[in-house]
Amino acid sequence: MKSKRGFSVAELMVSTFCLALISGAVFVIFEVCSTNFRVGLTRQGLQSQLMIFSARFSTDARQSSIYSAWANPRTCTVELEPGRSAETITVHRDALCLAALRDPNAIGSYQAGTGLPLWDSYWVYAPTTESPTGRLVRYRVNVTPDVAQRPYASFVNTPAAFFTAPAGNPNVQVLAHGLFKLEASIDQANQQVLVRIAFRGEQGHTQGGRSLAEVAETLFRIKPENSWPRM
Amino acid sequence: MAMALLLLVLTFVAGLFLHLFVASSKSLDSSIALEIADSVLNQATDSDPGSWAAMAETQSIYNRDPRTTTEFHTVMSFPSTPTIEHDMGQIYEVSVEVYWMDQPSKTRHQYGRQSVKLSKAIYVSNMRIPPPPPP
Repeated sequence: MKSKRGFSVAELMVSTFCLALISGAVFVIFEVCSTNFRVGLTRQGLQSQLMIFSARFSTDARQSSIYSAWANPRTCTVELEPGRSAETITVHRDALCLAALRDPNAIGSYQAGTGLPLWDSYWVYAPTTESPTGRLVRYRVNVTPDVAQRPYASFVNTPAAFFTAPAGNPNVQVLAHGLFKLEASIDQANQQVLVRIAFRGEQGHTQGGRSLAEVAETLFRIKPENSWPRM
Repeated sequence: MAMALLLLVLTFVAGLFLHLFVASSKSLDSSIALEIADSVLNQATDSDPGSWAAMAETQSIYNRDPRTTTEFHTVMSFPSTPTIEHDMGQIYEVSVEVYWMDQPSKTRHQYGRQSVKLSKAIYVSNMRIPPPPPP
């Protein structure tokens, strides 16, 4: 008697079909999960950049004087999806300058008698123009100490010289690599520095070619507390 | 049995990543809204109580999608009379609620509240210094 072993063609076809179906489902779920995970990572990165900027800028602006603040406007055209689309957008990448004290805790940073701050440096926030994201560079420029609250003359007169950090300056710090836009203005009436900033992050694209680029924008309105006279 | 187990594991993993996605969305939205609320409170700190109501505004913010903006709405709430009153000035407790996508104080399934709220005690001095002469 012939023994009955193995599978019939119909059985093999059904099982192959089931396997293909399961593999397809697993692949789709893996793709969705992977996309979600990468988007989550991008958002975490954007949040970190927002927090880093917020911490530095809030302190610098609060400790400064509104009469020393100055913004140099600049726009640049950036690609929305480099390599995948020719679509571009014009964004602000303004530079900002605020008077500062090198050591706010030192007694020598204040004028004897009046107690007024002896402004001995300026913080410069300079964005670069790379597309789609630039760097946000923060650096200090030292000047002769003075109680006068005034914008940094060189920054006002030669704006182009300050969009890049000077070579050899040890106080250069790159705050963010994913800067999308920075719009700065000085509200003299309310004595506030206004900044609208956006960061962009991207962790590749989906299998279908859709970009996973994300943008996070927010605004800051800070009053420099060492302004005198105050309104 | 094996199929059911596989299906269960896949559903669990997909759910887990979906939660991660929603959590990251909310976290980013909240961070942006908190900065907006803080900036409105900073503005209120240096303004007269009469102008606080006008600070309720809508900001169009690029959030997530680089092509479209999301609207973040601001709602100001403060008492009509000061919380503490003194000859030198008054203290008001001012609250700012920033909401997005929907109505204030509304929640969405698996997302939670779509708003953040910040409060600050603002001191309004009775002594005003005249503005400086123009340069």
